[in-house]
Amino acid sequence: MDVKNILGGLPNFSFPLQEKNSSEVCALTGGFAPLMPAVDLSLLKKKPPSDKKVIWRWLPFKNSARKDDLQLHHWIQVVNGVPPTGDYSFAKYNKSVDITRYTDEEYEKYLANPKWTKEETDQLFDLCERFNLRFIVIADRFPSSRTVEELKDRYYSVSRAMLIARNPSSTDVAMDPLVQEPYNVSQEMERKRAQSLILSQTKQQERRDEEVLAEAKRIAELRIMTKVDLESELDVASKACANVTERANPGETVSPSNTELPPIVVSSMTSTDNASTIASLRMLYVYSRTYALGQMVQSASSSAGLRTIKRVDQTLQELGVNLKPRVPTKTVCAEHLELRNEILTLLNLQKQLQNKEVEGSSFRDGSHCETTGTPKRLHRGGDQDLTFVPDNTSSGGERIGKRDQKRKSLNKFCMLSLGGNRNGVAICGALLIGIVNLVLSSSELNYWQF
Amino acid sequence: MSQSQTLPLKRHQDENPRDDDSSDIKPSRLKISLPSEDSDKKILIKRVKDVGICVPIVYGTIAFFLGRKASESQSHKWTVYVRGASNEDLSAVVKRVVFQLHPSFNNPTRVVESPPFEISECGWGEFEIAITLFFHSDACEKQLDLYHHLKLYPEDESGPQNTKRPVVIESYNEVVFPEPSEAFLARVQNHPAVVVPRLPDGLNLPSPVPVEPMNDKERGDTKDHPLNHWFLNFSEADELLKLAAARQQVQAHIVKLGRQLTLMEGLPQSKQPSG
Repeated sequence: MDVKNILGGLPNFSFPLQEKNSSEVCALTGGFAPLMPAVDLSLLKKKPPSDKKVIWRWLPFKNSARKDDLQLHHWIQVVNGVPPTGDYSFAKYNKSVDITRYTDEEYEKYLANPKWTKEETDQLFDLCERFNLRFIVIADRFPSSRTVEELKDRYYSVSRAMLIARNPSSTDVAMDPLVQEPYNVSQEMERKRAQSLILSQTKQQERRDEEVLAEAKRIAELRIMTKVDLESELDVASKACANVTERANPGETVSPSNTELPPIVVSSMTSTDNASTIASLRMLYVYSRTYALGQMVQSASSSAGLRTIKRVDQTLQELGVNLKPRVPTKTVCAEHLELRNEILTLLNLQKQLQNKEVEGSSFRDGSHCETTGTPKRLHRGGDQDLTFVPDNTSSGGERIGKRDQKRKSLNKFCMLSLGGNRNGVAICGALLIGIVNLVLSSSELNYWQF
Repeated sequence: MSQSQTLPLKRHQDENPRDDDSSDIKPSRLKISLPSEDSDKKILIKRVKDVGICVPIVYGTIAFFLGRKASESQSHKWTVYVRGASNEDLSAVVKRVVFQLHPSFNNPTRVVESPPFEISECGWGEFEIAITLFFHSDACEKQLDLYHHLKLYPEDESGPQNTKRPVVIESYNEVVFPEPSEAFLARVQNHPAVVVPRLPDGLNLPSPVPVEPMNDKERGDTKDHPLNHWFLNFSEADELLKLAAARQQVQAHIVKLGRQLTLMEGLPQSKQPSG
């Protein structure tokens, strides 16, 4: 069928099908089992024999919620000739609030209030009882005009006073919310006013509020972004400087000028930081040398991450240098800063070397798999077939070991693709590789220990 | 208000042709500034750019255990002080020093108006003392805050404390005035307590006006201070040596790694996979 072709063959699963033409049902549901079990029509037609005989009758009923004698009728199920017993099912929902009423003596003793007459208070309480503390209705029905807050206030303060008066020493009373959280008229009025303000805001006002909030958010984000940009710019600048040092000596093996470049490059990058720090220090009119040093160190390490800063400190300690000079004179501080910068350069170089090595190994793991790359892997005196035996003897660190394992596992792919390429390149590279390996194996140990 | 234009480089250029540019040197070197601190006087203060002067100071505490005379609340007698790093008189620069002691002391704010700038007290507890230096008005209107933790008990807790051997903690620091006023510079340029770099040629300073004269009886320096044999020596030579050695080591490593990197770059490589 068409669907079968489109789906590339129907999946094999079994589900109980009551229909005989299963393939058509499958086609209808797109090859999958239907979500709802199909209703068996045969089942629908049969009705189980029930032992209950239910008829509906129009009968009168009693409602305990009603206080009068009104007799009402309703349709009700009669099962097997027995009408339902028990109270009207909705009577249980007729709940009311317990309102404690005061006696006259109590009123005179505790509850007298200049703003409220006894009569009014009585009326209030009657209404409260009648309307179950629905104050909006009570306020509406109250004979003299009083606000909802006033009514609430009077009612709650009276109830509170009564509660305390009747149970002066009870601790339960103290926990009662009436006692613990008395009704606060002014707060309530303020709250309702604020609420109505918000509700009554015109669309214009709403739009303006939203605009202001969005603007504030944008400004905050911009600030964060410029901060991040500054940091990333510095990162880019440092990478650019590092790239410059590499390209400066493309094919030379040993060059003393190499030493000059990295420190100069780093210092040119940090000179802008320094200049701004110096300017800000000048604004102070007077400062202490240690403070100035702290500021310069901070600005120099602003582009570096926390881990780098820690590594710089660690290196300083290893070199036996105080993190904060004991005699911070001008020259000492200058030297200290220079040392820090040089350490940063060193760490950068280390990182670059690491990256290069990782890159080198990843090249080989891919389908190209040229023999060039870090020479360690090639050096075996021209025995090309054994180039992939991992060179564990000269490796000093864990990292190389892991890379060897990776190489082992991907041997197959590499061997296939190398073919003729390897021969030509390996021959011309053998000499150079020999020299390089010598140099590397001696300096490698230092490199990894540092 | 401030005409800050030139970079230090220009100064080197100016030094050579003296005759013609002597008139030009002044504007580039002097900065007329109206900082907020001078606004009360509404006088323009001429400041000298690129001549930062510094005053090396040492501040710290010396604490003696009182031994037999010690009581619960007064077990040590200690002195907190600020002195010139080579025991020179600081009063030419420092007008007064305020020591803020622990609030449990009577009148914890102690003001010392004349040298020697120190406070001696008896107590039992260690706390941080805030030392604030106030300078003469021609030097700087702003104060400088330093902090020092008073130490009474020695590092090694071996046995009872010796009344003869105090616990001495000193810190070296330098007070730097990056752009001193002409008047201040004129006054202190030959003072032993102040380190003034080589002044550029052609700088005309006004004749110095002495500040409030000190007591004639007392000298302001601490060369004959009773405690001066406990003062520590701060020599930058050791530190410089260590720093130079460290720098050499790091530079050597940089060379090595640089070589490694270029070697890795230099080897013929395949076409790099994209990504």
